[in-house]
Amino acid sequence: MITQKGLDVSVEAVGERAVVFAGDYLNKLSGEQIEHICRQQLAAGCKELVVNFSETEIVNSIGISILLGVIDSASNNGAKVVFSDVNEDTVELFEMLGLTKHVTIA
Amino acid sequence: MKRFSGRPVIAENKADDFVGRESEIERLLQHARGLGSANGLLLLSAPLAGSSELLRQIYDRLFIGQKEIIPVYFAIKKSDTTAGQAGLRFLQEFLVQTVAFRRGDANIIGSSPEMSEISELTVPADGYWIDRLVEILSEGKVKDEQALLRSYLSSPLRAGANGANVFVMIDDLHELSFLENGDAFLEDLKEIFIHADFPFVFAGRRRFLFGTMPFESMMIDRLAFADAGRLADKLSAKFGVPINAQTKDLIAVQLQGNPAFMNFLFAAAQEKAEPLDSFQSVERFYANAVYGGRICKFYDSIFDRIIPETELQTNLLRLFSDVLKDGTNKARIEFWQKHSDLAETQFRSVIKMLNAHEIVTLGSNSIETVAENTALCDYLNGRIRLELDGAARALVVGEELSAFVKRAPQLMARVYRQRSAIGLRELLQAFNGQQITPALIDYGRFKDEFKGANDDKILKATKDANEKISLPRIVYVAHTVAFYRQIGELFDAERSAVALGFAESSENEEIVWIAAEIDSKLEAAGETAEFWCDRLEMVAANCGFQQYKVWLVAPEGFAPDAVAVLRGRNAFGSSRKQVDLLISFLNAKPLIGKNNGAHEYEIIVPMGEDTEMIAAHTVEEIAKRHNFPAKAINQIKTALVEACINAAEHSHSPDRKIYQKFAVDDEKIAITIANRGVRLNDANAREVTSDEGRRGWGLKLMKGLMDDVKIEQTDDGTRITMVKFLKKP
Repeated sequence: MITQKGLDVSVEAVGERAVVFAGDYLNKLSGEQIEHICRQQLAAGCKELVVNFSETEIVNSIGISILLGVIDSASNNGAKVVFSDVNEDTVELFEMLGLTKHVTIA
Repeated sequence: MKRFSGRPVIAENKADDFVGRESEIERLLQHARGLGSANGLLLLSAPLAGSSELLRQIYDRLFIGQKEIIPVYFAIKKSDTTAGQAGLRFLQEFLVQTVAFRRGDANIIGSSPEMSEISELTVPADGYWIDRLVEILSEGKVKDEQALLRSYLSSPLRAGANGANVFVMIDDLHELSFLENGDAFLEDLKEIFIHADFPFVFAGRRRFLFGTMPFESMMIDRLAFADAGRLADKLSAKFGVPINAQTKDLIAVQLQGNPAFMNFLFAAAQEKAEPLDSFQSVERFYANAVYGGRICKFYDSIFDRIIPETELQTNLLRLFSDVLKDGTNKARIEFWQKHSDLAETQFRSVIKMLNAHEIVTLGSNSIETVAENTALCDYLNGRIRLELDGAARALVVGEELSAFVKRAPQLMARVYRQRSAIGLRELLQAFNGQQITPALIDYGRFKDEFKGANDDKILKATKDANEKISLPRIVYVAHTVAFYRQIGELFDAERSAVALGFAESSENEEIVWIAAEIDSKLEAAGETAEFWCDRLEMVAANCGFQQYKVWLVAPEGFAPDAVAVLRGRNAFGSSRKQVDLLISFLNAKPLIGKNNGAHEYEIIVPMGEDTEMIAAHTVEEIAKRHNFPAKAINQIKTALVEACINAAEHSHSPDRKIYQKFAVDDEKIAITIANRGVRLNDANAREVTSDEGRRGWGLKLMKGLMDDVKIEQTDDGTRITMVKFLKKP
């Protein structure tokens, strides 16, 4: 298992599966950290990217747009994206902006 | 009817600058559309409440905003000297305004065309009846003056009979007092319009018009405090005269929501290019206005019209001086007449007109000065000192200005106390024979049973309690000062009330409740309770109340010795908390009204570095405090974060600050986010972001998460207002 920790974001990678732990506030800064980590994992051959929102209190529109970029990158690399432990308020936001069409909510 | 904010037609202000009469405008527009309960409506106005401008605003909205209803506005003028002259002018105005409306050309109104020109300008649909009117008048077929007047006033009915859809507003009817045959004009108006099958409004001073006509009435009083504040903001912008929050409130309070006087003040400040940003500057301009300025001229013109003779006016001033110095502010009618040197008929006419203009209040056997009208009292005081006492002008103005500056904070303190008053009068009215647990009104019981419990738990327990007492069925309630004037030295009027009613147990058992709010930092002590019980029992004794109950309310309740005192005297003592719970329990909030209005919070955060999270956590705390559910709180937080990001991203703000206000009431939270800089719409127009897919997401989220979102462009930035209802409306 490989563990990395950014400023607010951390990742645990096992084989072809990587779990990225989003911080408490998904904004431009933390979104870019997630994006960076996800690109690294995809380049390393990851096929399942799980973004864990268990600690996430608020997501803003900038953060969501960055997540869209991650989904696109994953798709281009043949990888699956899962959002896990998303609270229902954040699910509501994702639904409003159409993210839930492109990703599995677990 | 579409909203418009264009150039006024006959109104003095643009629609957007006319504040504080939103519900009146809506009602009058409905009335114009024939949706009122009857055709006739009497608009009873306090002096200088702005009713004329209100009607002119209605006129403009109808002139511009629709094509079906012909609006007609006519006001009796000071220059009208006879009923016939006013009647003829009415006809001319009616025809000119009809033609102007039909042609969609407001310039026709201002050009005052001759009768012959009116015929030429008339559209074919109206040609028959307009030409007939012009013809009859030109040929002078109707020679009798009375018949001629009736013919003039009937012109709208003639139009209606020929299919024209009119809405007639006749204003300033109190000016008929000064017209030869003014009574006949009013009488004819009533007799003619009672048969009208179109909506109309007759407007004038309330004391003049009240009870004169059998039509539904609508009262217009001076602006309420909040609306007067909004007007002050508008006037500040219009005249370019800076004010601040404190002076805005002072202007609203001291000028008692009088739009005309507020205009005078700002106009004077504009002429001197000076701000109204301190109490001293406000009082300086006020003093100038009262002593020789616009307010002085206004009252001078009323006195000069009612009593043109200088000597008689001086006699009247002397009477005012005697009555004001006496402190009672009133005297018997015979006293006034004897010292006025006026013959009885003239005296009655003068007093009637002074009463109509609310310079005095005419009772059944007494005449009272209007002591609550600050500007009027200051004006009278000035004239008395200058004209009767012969004091030097500089001395009078200097001393009075000092007195005004000293008075200003006292005036505001009184207003703050009034606004924080519980509303005992209204609460007593809500008693209605209902049953409550003693703990809701007896502080000793409340402390024993509920100290530390939350409101929901207390209200549930009170509903389920077996032991109940019955509140009386109240038939009449008024402020205590209305029953016993001397108590006014101890209380502001709003903080004490007397309620007469019947004990619920028996309709034969009359009971009087005498309630008062008292001040105390901690639990009120026994001495304090004794003091106030003595005072209120004195009220009961002086008023001859046989069966009475004293009820004291102290912010933090009563100490044990005070509870013992109150029980010994068979009185109730409650804390502010108990009263709030009682208000909830009795569903008295609608009666209490403004006293329990919005809680407002303001913060300013710098832009950048995730400061939107500070705002989010602040609003979370506020919303929790006001019992918003968790889901709504999260939605509010997210929407606020988006609004802050919007403010930071696009504005290139010069001060890098985001100004936020949170206003919470029983139904909703309203959040205002404002920033200086490039306005949101201008930014969207000019800046092209590479992230095209994300543009508008912030706004989409705000609109999706909140119940209402409004974006406004201010002069120098953007303001977003978002509302979330506690329960879906």
